[in-house]
Amino acid sequence: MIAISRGVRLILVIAASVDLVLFSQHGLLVIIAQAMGTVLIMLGLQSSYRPASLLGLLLVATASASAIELPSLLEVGQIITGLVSLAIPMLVLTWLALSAEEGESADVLLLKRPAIIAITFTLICLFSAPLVILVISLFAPTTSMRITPMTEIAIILIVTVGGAVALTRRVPDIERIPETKEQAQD
Amino acid sequence: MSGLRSTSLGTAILSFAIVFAFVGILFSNLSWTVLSVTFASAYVYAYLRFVSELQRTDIHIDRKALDDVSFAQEATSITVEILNKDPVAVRGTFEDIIPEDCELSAGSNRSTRALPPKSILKLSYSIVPSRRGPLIIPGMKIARSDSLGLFDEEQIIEHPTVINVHTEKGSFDTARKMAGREHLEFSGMGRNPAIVLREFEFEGIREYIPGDRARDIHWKLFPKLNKLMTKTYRKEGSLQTMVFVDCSRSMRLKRSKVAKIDHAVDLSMQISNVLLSSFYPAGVALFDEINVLNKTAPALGRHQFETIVKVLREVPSSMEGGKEEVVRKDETESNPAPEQKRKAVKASAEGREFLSALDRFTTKGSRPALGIGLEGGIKQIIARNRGREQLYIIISDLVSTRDAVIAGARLCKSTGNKMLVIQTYDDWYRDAEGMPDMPEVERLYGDISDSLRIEATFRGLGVSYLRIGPADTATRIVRAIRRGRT
Repeated sequence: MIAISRGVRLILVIAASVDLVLFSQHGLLVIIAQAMGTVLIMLGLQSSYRPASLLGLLLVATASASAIELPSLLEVGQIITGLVSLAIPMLVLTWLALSAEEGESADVLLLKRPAIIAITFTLICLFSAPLVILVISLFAPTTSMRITPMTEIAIILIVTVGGAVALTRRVPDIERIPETKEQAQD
Repeated sequence: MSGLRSTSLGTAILSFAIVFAFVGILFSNLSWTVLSVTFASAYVYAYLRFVSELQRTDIHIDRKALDDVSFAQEATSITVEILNKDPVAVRGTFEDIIPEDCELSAGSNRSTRALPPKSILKLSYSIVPSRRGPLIIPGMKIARSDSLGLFDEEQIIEHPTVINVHTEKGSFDTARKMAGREHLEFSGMGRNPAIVLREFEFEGIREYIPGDRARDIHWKLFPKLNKLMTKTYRKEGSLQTMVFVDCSRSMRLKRSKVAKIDHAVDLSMQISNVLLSSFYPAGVALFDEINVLNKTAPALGRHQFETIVKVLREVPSSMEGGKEEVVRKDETESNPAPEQKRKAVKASAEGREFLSALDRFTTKGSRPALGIGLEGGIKQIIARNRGREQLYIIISDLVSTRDAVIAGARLCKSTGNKMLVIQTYDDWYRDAEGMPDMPEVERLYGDISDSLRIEATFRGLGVSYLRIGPADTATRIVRAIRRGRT
C-alpha cells in the first residue's frame, strides 16, 4: 500500500486539473467551472469534508467532458488522448475527492492490488471497442461493418457493465476470531 | 450487483455513471462515455478495497468484568479494549453485543469512529442481567463503512466472554440474616426430636454451680436431695451435611415467575449458611440425569460459604418452557383438529418415554461400579467418610431423577446415613391459566397421587420428605425441619 500525505494530495489535484485544462477547449465558462471545481475539491480535502469535494468533482467532470471532443476511440492515438486528457486525471480526482474524509486522522492509503485491478478494468473498457472489432475481423473477415460512435459507446458500456458486475460479485469472507475466554472472577 | 451494501453515496456515483453514459449516447460524444467508465472504475476500486479491508481485519478484543461477583438484577461493569493491529484504519460503529436477557444501565456499549492503525478504543458500560446463570457476551459487531464512503457492511467478531451471574443479592441478605437466627438443631431431650440434627446428648448429673442455665436444673431431684443438681450434656460429633441440587432439564424449565432451579439455588445457599453458622460442616453438589456436575466437600471455616457460593454459580440457568403452554393454549382457544391433538399427546408421551428411558439409564444398566448421577455422588462420599454419619439434603423435583433419588435413599438406609428430600413440586411452579378443564384436573390429581406414593416410598426408607412450592422460603423450611414436620 502507498500512503499519501495531505500535501501530495493537493499537488495531485492541481496536476490533474491542469491536465484537464490543457486538453480542454478554452472557453470562459469551462475555465471558470474547472477552476471552481478544483477549488472546491481542494477545500474539501483541506477541511476533510467530502460533500464539497464531490460537488467540485461533478463540476470539473461535467465541464471537462463537455469541453473535450472525442469523436472515436478506434485509433490508438485517440485512445491515448482520451486516457491522458480525461480518464487518468478524472480517476485521480474521483479517488481524491471520495477519500477527502479518509485523511482526517492519517495519510490516505492506496491499496496496490485493488488499484491495479481498477486501472486494468479502465484500460480494458477503453480498448474494448477496437478489440471487439479486431476479434470480429479475425473471425469474419468478409463482413462489412460500419462502426458509428453509437456502436463504440454501446460496446464500451456493455464491457463496463459486464466487468463491473464480474468484479463486484465477490463476497468477502469476513475473518472471525474464534477465541473463547472464560472471565476469571475468582 | 454486489455482496456489500451500497451507501447512498455509492448509489449516487453509480447513478452519475449511468447519467454520463446516457449523455454520451445522446450527444454521440465518447468523452462522456470515458467519464462514465471512470466513475465505474472508482466504484470497482472502492469495492475491491473494502473487500480487502474486511478480509485483513486484525482486531484484538480484551473484555473484562470489573466486579468480582455479578448478581442478577444488579449492575455489572464491563470494560472492552479494542486494539486495531492492522495498518489500515477501521471505520464504523463498534458495538459490544449485549445478551438478550440483559439491559444496559450506564455508559455506552457503542462508539462511532475511525480506529487508526495500532491504536486502542476503550468502551465502558454497565449491564443488568435479568436472571441467574452464565451470561455470554458473544462478541463485537462493527457496522463498518468504506474509506471512500460507498459501501458499508456489518462485521461480527466472535469473542465470547462468559460471566457467571449469581442469584439476586436479596437471597444473600436472607442467608446472612438467617445465619444468626435460624437453627436446624434442638437442644436437650425433646419429645418431638427433629430428624435432622441433635447437638447435645444427655451425659449425667452434677451439683449446681452458679451460672448454670435454669432449664438444665434437675428440679425433680431437688425435694429428694434438698440441693440443686444440674443435668449435663455431651456435645455430639457434628454431623456433616451435603446439599445436592438437582440441575436436570425438568428443574431448569421455567413455567412461571420462579424457576425451580433458581429456587433450589437460593434454598441450598441459605440452608448451607444456617448449617455453617451452627458449626456444622456443610457442602454442596450439583447433579443432573447422568453425572455430578460440581461439588465441594462438607467443611467448616470462614471461606466455606464462599466456596459453596462459587459452586452454586456453576448451576446452569433456567430456560423458558413456553412450548408446552403454547400447545395447550392453542388447544383451548381454537379447538384444533383431532389429528393435532393426537400429535400433541404423542409428543408429550414421547417426552415421558424419553425421561423414563433417561431414568432407567441413570439408575440401572450399564453403569460403572461407583455409579453415576446422584447415587454415584453419594457412594463416593460414603466411601471417603468411612462410616461417619452423614446427612444428605436433596433438592429435586423428582421428575427425571426420581429413581436416582430413591436409589440414593436405599443406599442411605443400608449405610445408616440420613436423608432429607425437598421436592420442588412441579405443578406448583406452573402458571395457573384460569379455571382448569377436566383433563387438566385429572392430570393434577394424577401428579399429586404420584407424589404421595413417592412420599410413602421415602418414608418407608426412613427418609424425611418435604414438598415445597415457590412461596416456601428457606426460613419456613428450616423451621419445618426443626419442628419435625418432615
